[in-house]
Amino acid sequence: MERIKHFLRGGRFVLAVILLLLTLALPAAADAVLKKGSNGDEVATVQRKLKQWGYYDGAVDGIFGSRTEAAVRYFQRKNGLTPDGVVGPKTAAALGISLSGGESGQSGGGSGDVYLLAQCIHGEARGEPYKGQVAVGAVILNRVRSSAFPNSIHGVIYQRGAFSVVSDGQINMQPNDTALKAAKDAMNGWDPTGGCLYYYNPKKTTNAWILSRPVKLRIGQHVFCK
Amino acid sequence: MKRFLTGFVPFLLLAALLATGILYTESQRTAESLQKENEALLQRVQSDTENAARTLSEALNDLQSDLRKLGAAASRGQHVRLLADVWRLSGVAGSALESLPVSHTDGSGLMQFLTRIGDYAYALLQSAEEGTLPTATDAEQLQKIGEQCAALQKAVDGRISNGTLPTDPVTPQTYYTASAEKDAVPAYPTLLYDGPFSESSENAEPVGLPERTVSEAEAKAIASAAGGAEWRFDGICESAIRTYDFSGPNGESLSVTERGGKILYRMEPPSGDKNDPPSDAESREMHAIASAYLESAGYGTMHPSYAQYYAGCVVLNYAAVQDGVVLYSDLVKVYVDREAGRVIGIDARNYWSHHTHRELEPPALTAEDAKNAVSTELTVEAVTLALIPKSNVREVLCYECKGTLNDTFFLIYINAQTGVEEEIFEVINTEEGDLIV
Repeated sequence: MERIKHFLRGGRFVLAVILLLLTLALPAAADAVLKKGSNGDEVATVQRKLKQWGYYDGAVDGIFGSRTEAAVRYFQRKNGLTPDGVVGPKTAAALGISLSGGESGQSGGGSGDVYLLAQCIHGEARGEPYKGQVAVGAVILNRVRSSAFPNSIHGVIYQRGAFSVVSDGQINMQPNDTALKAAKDAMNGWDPTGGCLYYYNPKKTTNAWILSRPVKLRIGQHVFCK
Repeated sequence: MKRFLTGFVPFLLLAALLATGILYTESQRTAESLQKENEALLQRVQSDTENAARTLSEALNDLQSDLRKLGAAASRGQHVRLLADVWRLSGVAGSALESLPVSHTDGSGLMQFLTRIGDYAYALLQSAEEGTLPTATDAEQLQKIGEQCAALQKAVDGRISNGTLPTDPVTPQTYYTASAEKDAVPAYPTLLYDGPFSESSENAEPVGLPERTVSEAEAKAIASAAGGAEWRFDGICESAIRTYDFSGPNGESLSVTERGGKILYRMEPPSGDKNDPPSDAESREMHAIASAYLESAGYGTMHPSYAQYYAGCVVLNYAAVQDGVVLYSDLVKVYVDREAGRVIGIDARNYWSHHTHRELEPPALTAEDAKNAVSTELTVEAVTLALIPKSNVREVLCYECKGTLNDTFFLIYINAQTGVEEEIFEVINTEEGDLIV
């Protein structure tokens, strides 16, 4: 009897392992998702977003094919999501869209420079005091004005290696209202940094060049310099 | 029971083995496709880099050609055409440079050089259009730029042909890494001109501030007198205009200039979040509040220019006025809280950077002359005198002609001495305000 129990326990364990493996192997079937085979306006919105951000170079045709799936995987990997190629609620949120109910695109959107600036501020400084958020926006705009940097907001933000939120994909998050207001205030000319071109978090930076720049001011976790 | 077990357990084991096998091949496949994807991506990055380097080389080559031709050109028309092409090519070269994976500190000198070539060419282009051809100094500078472009092109071509173009992606960690490969980068000449990106304008003095240094204690007193919050000293902002920065308990902030002790910025969070355009009555009320504030803050009479509305505020832009002439460089932005109906912010950086008494020549043209210089397609509604910035260091006295064409509102600036049409602005009424483009 002891042995039977032991066997049974062992059998149950094997069964559990198999079930677990099978669950992992199959894509989770959740409600309101877009996946390979889906089609319609929501798919087109996903494709447009992915294309805009450089994850997808196929046609925006509203048909979720293998290229769209590969692009979704690529986006998910870059944004710290499970790369399953399926647009579920988390991936949709990261894309700045809401699925189902026909309100896709309502919550996200915005392709203008102010929106991009807000995305960068949100990614770089969302835990910072408001003035510190405006300051990050101001640094970006000071770079646009400087001859040594690209001459547009998107040029400065997407300059190679310039912002870690671009490198890790956090730039694609939807900015909150505070970041949007900070972006507008910065666009309007509020520059708490008085013309600074750089900022960094001294606790996280080891780069000798940036640490050698004279510090102009400090707001929250960031120090600003020229 | 025992028979069942002896039958079932092997089956379970077999199933487990199968599942493991499937998973293994699946993960192998994923690894393979991932590697393929990575290779394809790397190939794309390399092709993009190669393409950008060739675009840069080509632009540098064409720049030299244009610059040589400029040395040989005599007519105004050729000067205009060639300078416009130099301006265009510097932009092409600049965006090609942006696409190359070079660290910021390695590329910034070159970027600055390219930006200034374009800026300089544009300044010369404007003069050439008005009939003034480049001087001997300019001609010499242009030839020097040509030589620099040749040296740069040689360096870029060398790297293309021996396959030493940078391929490693620039990461936030390497962004500030100055490269040891200084050999490829010659020293760039300082260009003497007055465009917006010239050195003289990037280091402009704040002429509006009185030349008197205030102490931290005085600055604190100035902040307290301004009211609005219990101000706490945060530190000094070591910028071109040094300021004492203060903050309040509810997100308020205020900066007092060390030179002159003036309030450069002041900002408070708004109480509401209205975004819609205000009614005419509300707009008038907001303007009255802002004007009264400016009057009491000692700015005197200011000319309202344009308005924006967002996040519960109306942002009103005011320019200084001297003897009836609107000084557009001397701008103050006033933020009015729409719900509370009071001033919650001011941005006077432009004002204190530029505001000083201007020596203005009386205009040679009359307002009527200016009106006649504007396109007959436009219906001119109002004409006023204005001093407009042509660059950070040059201002031009103009007649500002407000006119409409097909329901679009334009501001056209006619040089008050020469009748030249200096600027055309389009006023765009957006939901967020009347923007001037």
